[in-house]
Amino acid sequence: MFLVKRASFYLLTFWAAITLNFFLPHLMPGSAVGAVMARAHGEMGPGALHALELAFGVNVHQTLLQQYGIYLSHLAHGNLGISFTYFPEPVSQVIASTLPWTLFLIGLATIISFVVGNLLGIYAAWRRGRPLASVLPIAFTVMAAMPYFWVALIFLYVFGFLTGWFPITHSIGTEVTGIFHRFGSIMYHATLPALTIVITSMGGWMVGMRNNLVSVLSEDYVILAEMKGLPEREIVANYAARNALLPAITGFAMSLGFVVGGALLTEIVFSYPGIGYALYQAVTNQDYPLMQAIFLIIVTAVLIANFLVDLLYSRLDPRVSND
Amino acid sequence: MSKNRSWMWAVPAASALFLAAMGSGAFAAPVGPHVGGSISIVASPHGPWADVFNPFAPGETQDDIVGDIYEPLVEWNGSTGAHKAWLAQSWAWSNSNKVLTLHLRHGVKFTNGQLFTSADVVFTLDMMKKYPAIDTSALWSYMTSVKAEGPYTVKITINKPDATFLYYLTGTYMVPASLWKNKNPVLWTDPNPVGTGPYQLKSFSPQNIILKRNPHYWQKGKPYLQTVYYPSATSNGSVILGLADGSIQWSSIYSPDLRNSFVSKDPSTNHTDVSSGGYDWLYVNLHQYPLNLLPVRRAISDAINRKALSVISESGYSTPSRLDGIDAAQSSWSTPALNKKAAAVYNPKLAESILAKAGFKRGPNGMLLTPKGKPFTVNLVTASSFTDFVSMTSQISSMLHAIGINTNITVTSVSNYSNKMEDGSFSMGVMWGASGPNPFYTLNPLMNTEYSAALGQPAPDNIERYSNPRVQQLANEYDASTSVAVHKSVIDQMANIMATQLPIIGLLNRNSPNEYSSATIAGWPTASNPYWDNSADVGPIVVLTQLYAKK
Amino acid sequence: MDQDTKTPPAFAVEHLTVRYPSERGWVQAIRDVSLQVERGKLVGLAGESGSGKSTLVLAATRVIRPPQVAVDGQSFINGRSILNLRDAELRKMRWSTFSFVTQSAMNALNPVMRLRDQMRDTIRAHDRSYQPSVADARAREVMDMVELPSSKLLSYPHQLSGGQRQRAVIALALLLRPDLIVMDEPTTALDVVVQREIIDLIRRLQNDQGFAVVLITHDLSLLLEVAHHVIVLYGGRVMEAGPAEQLVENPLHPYSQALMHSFPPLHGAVSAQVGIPGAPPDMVSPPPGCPFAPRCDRVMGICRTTMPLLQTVGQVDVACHLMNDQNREVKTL
Repeated sequence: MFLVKRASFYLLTFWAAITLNFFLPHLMPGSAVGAVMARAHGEMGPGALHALELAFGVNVHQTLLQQYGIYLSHLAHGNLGISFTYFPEPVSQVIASTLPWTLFLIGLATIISFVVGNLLGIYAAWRRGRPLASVLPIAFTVMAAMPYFWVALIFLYVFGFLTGWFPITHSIGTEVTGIFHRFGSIMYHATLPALTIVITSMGGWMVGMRNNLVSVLSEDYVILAEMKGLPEREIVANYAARNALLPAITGFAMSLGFVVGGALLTEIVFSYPGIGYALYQAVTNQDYPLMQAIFLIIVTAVLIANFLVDLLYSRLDPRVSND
Repeated sequence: MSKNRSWMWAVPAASALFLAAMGSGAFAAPVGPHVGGSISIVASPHGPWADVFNPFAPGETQDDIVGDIYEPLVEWNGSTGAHKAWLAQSWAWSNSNKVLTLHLRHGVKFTNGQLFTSADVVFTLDMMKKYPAIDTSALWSYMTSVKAEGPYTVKITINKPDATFLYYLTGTYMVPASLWKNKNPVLWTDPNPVGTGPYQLKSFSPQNIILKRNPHYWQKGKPYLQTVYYPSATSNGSVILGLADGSIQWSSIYSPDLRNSFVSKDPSTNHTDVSSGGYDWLYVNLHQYPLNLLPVRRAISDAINRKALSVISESGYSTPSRLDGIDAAQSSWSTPALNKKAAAVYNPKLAESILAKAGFKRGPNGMLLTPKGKPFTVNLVTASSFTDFVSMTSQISSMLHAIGINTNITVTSVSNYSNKMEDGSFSMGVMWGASGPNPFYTLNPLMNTEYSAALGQPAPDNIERYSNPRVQQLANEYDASTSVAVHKSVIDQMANIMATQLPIIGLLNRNSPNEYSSATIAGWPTASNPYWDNSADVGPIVVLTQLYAKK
Repeated sequence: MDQDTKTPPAFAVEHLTVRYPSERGWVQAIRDVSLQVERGKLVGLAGESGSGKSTLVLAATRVIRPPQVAVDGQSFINGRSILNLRDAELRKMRWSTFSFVTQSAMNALNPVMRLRDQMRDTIRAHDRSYQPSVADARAREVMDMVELPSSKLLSYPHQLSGGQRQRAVIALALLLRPDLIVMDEPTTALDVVVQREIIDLIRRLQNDQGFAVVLITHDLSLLLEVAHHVIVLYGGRVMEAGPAEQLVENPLHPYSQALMHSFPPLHGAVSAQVGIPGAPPDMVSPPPGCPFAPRCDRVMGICRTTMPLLQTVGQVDVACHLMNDQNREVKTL
């Protein structure tokens, strides 16, 4: 019953999202043709305007409702259309070449950031009073407050350019063959971008965990666990951290959902392929098909992440599911 | 890459001493052009590549790469404005300049081994008729037919004499009929391109397009470089780092301080130059009062400090322009009389007196009122992502304010700005204009009503909607003739109209920097041998076939 | 008192002083307190909130410890000095020799673990040869003792009612057959009927199993019903200590008397309640004399300057200058 209720809620939300997704671009001023002409900076001949309109099929004479019907039917068939930006590459192809990198880099960085951030938060709360535990939250709050772009550029310059320790562009080396070498190259290229994401986003998790845990530590059940003579490890894990983690789970789900939105700044600074830049291109070029597909993916991912969290939450917190 | 760098940082002092002692000539055992080596080119940051090599695809993201694989019948030289024989060895006009006969080069082969013949030319051009969506140069608005006469001759008939036709053919790439005849060229991505060009696709990934030498290229012995890498880039910053550490050898990115960020890393090998192309104009909507009054446009022109626009908004790359649409590289088309008439001045006092004479008076708040007694307010529109235009627009706004004109600035998205400009729903705005081999390609589209449209309809070039029957007459004269003298006279008269009537106001000659490194590669165009425009962005094919590895 | 003197008491505290830092300075929570809880006895610790009764027990059992608090004096459980134990030994002693029923059963159980798991981990922490089936058998036993169906072992705390939860907490406390159970306000959060049931349960279990209980409450009338012995704390000091019936019938200390009047008896008619006027003393700078002097309606000059010593009057120990006067009066009479 709980599942059915949640599932129908998500279906309704999904329908609302794809409908909004259809109408939003139609309300935006400007056109894809104008954007392509503008990008060409006067280098396209006088006939280009007409040719582009034909190619993009933008001057079709259909009512909005007809277009909506076509949109839904294409969607149902998995036909996402052709990107205007990368014309005539199908949108599905654009996404297939960018989304895996995004999932890999941002997904990995988000998970590492969550895990390490929370572990450090546990340390900072459990061992509060010790010098390191006092310094950590301040250090990472400062890190989180610094503009990401700036941090990334510094890392790129110092660890990429000056020292040459890490590559400064791309997600894999040129003409790398063999599974082992490819894996190595991919990890090597991901190190710097992932590191910048982790250190700038970890502070939030850490401070959140620390504050939650400090208040959980004064709960009677934690004190009772200690009175029971449980090993410290068990008290931290099963009694303190497990309860302090609950509020962070929702936030984690949201950030996992938004992973598929990419990380535009990371992609720009490190010339790392990803869906963030594709979305940026889609928006600046009024590339509706690409834009709609990416929004669709984001909405779907956020909904799925939320649904999974609903499920996970009901496992982690028995108080949720039994209403 | 990292090896090079550690060498650079570890022993700069020692190597400097060594070089000083030995003299740099000691190393320069010159190696002439030979096959081998490689180059990395980043024309500009476009983000990850798409697996699209269709030479008819709109946009210009992968134009430079497609231009290494496919070739046109005729090339033209951005440095000199001259046409250059390419897949067509020669051509001739006949029948009152309505029939163009092209004689194709013999022995040209596609990279799949098939011979390139007139059938391919006819097929390609006919395909553009069948699919107007790929006819981006609107060739079929002039053409009536294309016919093969034997395997190496093609006859193109156009509906009225048009001397610019050949120029628009330069952007048309020839594809093999055998591979394209069952394709929809609008939607075909062409992932395994087969062309006649000096390079062919070796491998594709969104992060790197790798081309390899076409060993059977019709220019015997060329190209020299074995491999061409086109790594994708997302920001100017990473390209500059790549140039500085030697992992990129050629680019055409815009960066305000290349001297510091690139040239100074090694002045003996790191070079920059500029490509000139066209104008940045201040477009004025001639359907709006009082902008339709000539003294108003004259006063606006005189109130603008073009030197400041150049230095502050364009880091000095683009330079102050004349008023007549003839840019610095095309000065041979001008006359001394025109030079004088077309010179832009910066004189706000003069501007104020012109407006006073035209009946504009200061209102109670010190700002101008039109002769009709209304406040004189101008709306400027610009696009947020064109940061140089935003900067120029805000400068112009304060310059106009200084002579008493109220201004508002609308900053919007690129596409919205471009649509507003094309539809004529603007008052004033900075934008580029058309350009080509000579000033006619600039002036005619900007002033000819053929390139205009009703307000609310997109106009391709004449967006200020200037209307002057004399311009049409001159255009017809130009198109009907192949005589340089006639062309010169037409251009002179059109430039005179532009300079005196000011339908739009010239601001800057648009120059964009190119960066290249001679550390490992030779054969670059130089100041003393400017054989071709050195832009990596626009069809680098001619320069690319000249480049060779130094060892 | 009548037990074999060789057997050490279940719980003993000697000259315990507890201070903890606050923004305004050291708070003198417990000042030189000594007490004994004999085996199998139910001893009540009474006093208003802030009197230090919880702090006393928690510090003496090292639940709160340096650097949170500074502790002087000695504390013994079954004769072993708690304050000098190594951490590992203390951990072993916990729950197997002394367990707790903490203030609010609402929060005493981990909300995200089943009751069974919270019992299993307790057993596992103290039993090297831990086996889940054996542990579960013991869990069922203690559930039985507190009259809860063993099916509730699979429940999460939020699935139990307040009374059930309190029983579960008591069951947990019984799990390792401790000699001493400290119960801190075990009935405050419950309604009167359930309070009654829990009190009866505690009394019966204590009778059956013979563990000692330290019952902390501000509800003196409750104590007087169930406790063998009552200790009244005020301002971090023992005001009066003695057999429960003595304190019911004849509380000697003015504070005990005031406390007696401020609560209705658990049984019998509800008489007019009289709150104790005034507020507990500021323990950062407690009054130099008797801490109750500022609120005492029978205060004398000496009360404000000198802390009265604990002296035995009959079966009761009292710290009050009035006792001296009374004694003197008794003598002269």
